[in-house]
Amino acid sequence: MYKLLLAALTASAMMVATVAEAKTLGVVALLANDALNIAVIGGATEAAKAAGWDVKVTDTQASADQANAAMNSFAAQHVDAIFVLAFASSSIGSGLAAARDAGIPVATWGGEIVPGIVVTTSGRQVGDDSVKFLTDKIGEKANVLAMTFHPGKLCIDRGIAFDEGVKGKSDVKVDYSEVTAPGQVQFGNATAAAWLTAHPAGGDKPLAIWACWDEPMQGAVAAMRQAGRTDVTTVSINGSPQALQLVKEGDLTATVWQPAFQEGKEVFQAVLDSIKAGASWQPKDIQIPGIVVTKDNVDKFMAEHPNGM
Amino acid sequence: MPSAASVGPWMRIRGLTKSFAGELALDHADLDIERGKVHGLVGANGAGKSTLIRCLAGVTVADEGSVTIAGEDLQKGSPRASEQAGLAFIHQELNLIPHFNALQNILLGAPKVTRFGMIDWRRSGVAARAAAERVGIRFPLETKVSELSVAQRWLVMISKALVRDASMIAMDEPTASLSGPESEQLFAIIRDLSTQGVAILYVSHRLEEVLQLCDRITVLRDGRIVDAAERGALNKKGLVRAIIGHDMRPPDERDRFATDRSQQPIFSVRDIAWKSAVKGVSFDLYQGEVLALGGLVGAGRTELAHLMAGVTRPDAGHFELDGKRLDIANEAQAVRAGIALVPEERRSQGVMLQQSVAFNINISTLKKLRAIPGLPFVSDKKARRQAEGLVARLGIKTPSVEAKIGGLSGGNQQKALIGRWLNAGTKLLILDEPSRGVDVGAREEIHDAIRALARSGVGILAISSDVEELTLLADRVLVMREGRITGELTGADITEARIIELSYHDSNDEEGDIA
Amino acid sequence: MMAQAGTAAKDAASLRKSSWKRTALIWLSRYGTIVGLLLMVVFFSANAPGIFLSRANFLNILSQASLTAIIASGLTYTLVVGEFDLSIGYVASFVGLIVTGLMAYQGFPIWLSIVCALLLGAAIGAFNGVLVTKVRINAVISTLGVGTMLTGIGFTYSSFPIATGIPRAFTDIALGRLVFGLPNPVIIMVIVLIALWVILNKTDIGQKMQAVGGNLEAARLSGIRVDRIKIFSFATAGFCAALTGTLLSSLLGSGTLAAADGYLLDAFAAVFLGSATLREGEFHISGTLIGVLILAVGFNGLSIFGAPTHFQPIFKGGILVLAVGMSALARRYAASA
Repeated sequence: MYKLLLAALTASAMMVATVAEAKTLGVVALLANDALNIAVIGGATEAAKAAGWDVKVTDTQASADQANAAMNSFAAQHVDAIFVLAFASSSIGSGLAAARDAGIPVATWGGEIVPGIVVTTSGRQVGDDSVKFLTDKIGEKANVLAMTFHPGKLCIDRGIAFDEGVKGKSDVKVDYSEVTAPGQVQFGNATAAAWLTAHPAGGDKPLAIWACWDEPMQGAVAAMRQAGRTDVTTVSINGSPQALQLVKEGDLTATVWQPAFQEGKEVFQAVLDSIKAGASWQPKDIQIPGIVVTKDNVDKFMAEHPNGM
Repeated sequence: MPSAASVGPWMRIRGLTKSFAGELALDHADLDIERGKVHGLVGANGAGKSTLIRCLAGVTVADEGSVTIAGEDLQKGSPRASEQAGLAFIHQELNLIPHFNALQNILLGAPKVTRFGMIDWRRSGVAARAAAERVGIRFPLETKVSELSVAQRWLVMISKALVRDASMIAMDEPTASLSGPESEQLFAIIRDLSTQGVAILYVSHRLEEVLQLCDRITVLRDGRIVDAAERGALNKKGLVRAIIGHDMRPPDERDRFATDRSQQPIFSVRDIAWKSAVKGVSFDLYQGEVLALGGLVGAGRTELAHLMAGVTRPDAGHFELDGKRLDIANEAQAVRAGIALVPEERRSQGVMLQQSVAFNINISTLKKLRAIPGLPFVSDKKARRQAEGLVARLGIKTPSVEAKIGGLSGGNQQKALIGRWLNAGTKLLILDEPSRGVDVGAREEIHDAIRALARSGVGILAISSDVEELTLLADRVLVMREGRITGELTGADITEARIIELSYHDSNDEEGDIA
Repeated sequence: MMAQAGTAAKDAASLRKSSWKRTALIWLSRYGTIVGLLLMVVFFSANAPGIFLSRANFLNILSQASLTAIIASGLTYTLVVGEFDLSIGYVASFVGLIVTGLMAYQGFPIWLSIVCALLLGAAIGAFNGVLVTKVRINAVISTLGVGTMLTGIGFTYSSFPIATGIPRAFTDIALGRLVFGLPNPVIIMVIVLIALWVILNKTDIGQKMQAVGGNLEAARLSGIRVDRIKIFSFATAGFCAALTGTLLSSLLGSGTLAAADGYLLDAFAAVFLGSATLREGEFHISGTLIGVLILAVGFNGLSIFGAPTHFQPIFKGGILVLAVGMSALARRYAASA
């Protein structure tokens, strides 16, 4: 599917290039080979192609420095809009300034509204969904292992959502654990294994593990399998193919699927709208609810969204 | 300037004692060193010479005793204090940086003239050039050290000491890698420095040199000072007796020179050439003979040995083993054909220092030590038995075969390296400088081992720059000069004078000139 | 006479003193890491008796340690011959992806997929070895280059993590307990470690490896085919990395890009901790196991205590510097005392 999409992307780029007045969208990706990044770029590209735009993608390998450099470069090329994936607005100051000076609208995915940004999505919605599902499941008393990750803007937002979701629940005790990457799967595995030992089955409080995204949770689920534990509620976010498989097999309670493809599409639509509206445009925060995928709806979900798209 | 305290000797060493692992390496040594004199320090390996020097250099901390210099106590265990007291040390492994030029090396660590925070090489160079002049350096100081000969590097090291205003320079085996004339030139420099008021501490195994050069000779044995004499009070025989504690055996002459050279040679070298170092060399080597290769450092002898042992491949020519043409692509093929090399650089190319004596002896015969033939498992029992047998046979002094070889003296390490090839089906054993850096007693034992090996039918090619060693060891001597064989000596013709004559055969002294 | 006797007595006294100190220091430099490991176990056991000190948790620690121990033992082989392998983490990730792909995409049976995966790992290792010995590219550069390429090749093979089409029986390999109720990865670790220990210490090739690492030139002159020995070491490292990658995929039930990248640093830490154990600065299999256990026990104990996560890297880096540094210092003092 992605291969098809990439082919389509190349083909469209070539087609559009022949049109003299073609407009260009510059995409600054966090990690160009991350599944969620690919989906967002895919959505934005599909919408852009439909509108006759050309798309250029720069991979930053998660370096804010590279992101600023890429934005400056796009500004110098006078692209017509810039789309930044998953960098905090505070870390792309120089890029934003360059875009503003060149009069180029900037859209972000997983960011926040600051001057110069016409549209954004945040990681809050799926975070809120995940923690709501979790707290509904465990009730007012529980021990929770929360695996957070602060270098990424999406995970920061999801982490804030988690904190607010458990705030005020005095009987919910949270052990925070900051994931180290690379090695996130292994980290999740070792951390969960130790935490499960410290929290044996049959205790007085329900147990739960929450992870900011699916990969550390994969490790945690493996630890549960190793220890033969089935008493722990597990919730993570993204809806990656492995996570969906684990849900299907009953080892993962839920993963919240983030509609990244749709988000990409809608962000680009908002960019077009903002150009049309000109000075009267009000910056927009797009919130598309995710889908909480559990054993109950996983088959239906996978049928509707092959490969998680 | 001279204070009351400096009325006595300039440096007084009193009761200096140091033990390692419960063994006394230096046992209450007393020694006076005066400026303007050359002090010889001799003794077998392990006699305590290095320990004494390391204590002076501040690298080793003495357990007891004191060192006073011009009436002031030298701080123990501080290389910096030693340097500030005017002591300089030149070790065999010259501590120079190869890709720096001579000037940079001379000035390394010395105070330099700076300009705007940067080193002013021209003005800093003034002192260095003055020092270089004092030792008679005539090559440009901008030459990289890697391009200098060993002799020239020695001059750089001495200049380095002089730039620091050294009052005493200790030299460890300075002539080990120098040719005759190079050595003579170094002696002249040493005498010069000593008349200028520098004290020289001269450590060497070459007794002739020591007798000829030193004003005062101190002999160490087993950590104790056993003899100290002014020039002229000792002769070579007396010195050897003091070093080894008994008289030297005369070499066993009975079966020397008895090789039958009418038989087929065991190994033949035919028109071998390699780069500019070896220019068409041919000779035959017969079973059971000790063939020695003499000549100056740089004559192409080590290069020839490397070609024979498969380290490098010849540009032209070929080898024959037992009359059959032999093509050697690498060391492994040479070893399998029965050709082995005991290299010149014992530490860097010979022994595995971290490993045991047994490991070092057995490494070339692992296949023979298998528990079950055909399976790659080494039998510990067989391995220990072979090692113990060779240790006994060669008289290797070691606490056990399991002891690390790094703890053994140079001579015993060398014997172990020879032992490596005794059971390996070796037909030709090449020894490059077999007794370099070992004491008189150990040299004798190494020679015995080599001769025993020859008697057992192994062809021996021994390379040595020590002319005396050639006369003691060889049944036949080939002398090389500038990549060619310039002469062959047999029987009574093997004399120091003839070897030296052939080494310099109608040469115009240039190549012996080090500066 | 009197004076002499006095000196002799003093000699003996100073000798006794210095040799006592020396013995203690040598002992510390050899057994310091093992003592540290035991102290950690005692400390955690005393403070969390029911939880840390339980059969379940010990099996847990061993399970965690097993994958790291396997990959680290392979790495030990390259360090024994004086080389380096920075590709092992990437090889594990890559092979972990391929082994699931062979089952999911190519429809290979489980055993064939695993055999192919392990051979692939050994082949990648051998390729590293050829680059280092024959082409003569510095090991840091060549293994880093090969490792980086593998991440790209993995992505080309499957831009998606492979989650479906993997037989449950494959997952059961890492989750099962076939012998004595011990998790299978622990059994596999024990077998691999014993095999590698025997090869290194009891066979020709192991002796030759040690010779090559001890003194390359000397080994060459002893007739050892140095290049072959090094290639063998690299191939072993690749094989072990592949085994770790395969077990990780089995554990996760999926092939995930970059899943095993994190093993690289843990393996290096463990191997260098091991080099400070029993022998003087040498790399060896039993030392590596001790190193892996130190890291695993530390991680597990700290997690059980609920220590903040940022404490983990402080512990990991700290223990490494401390152990290797202490051992080096103790050795140096022992040599001069």
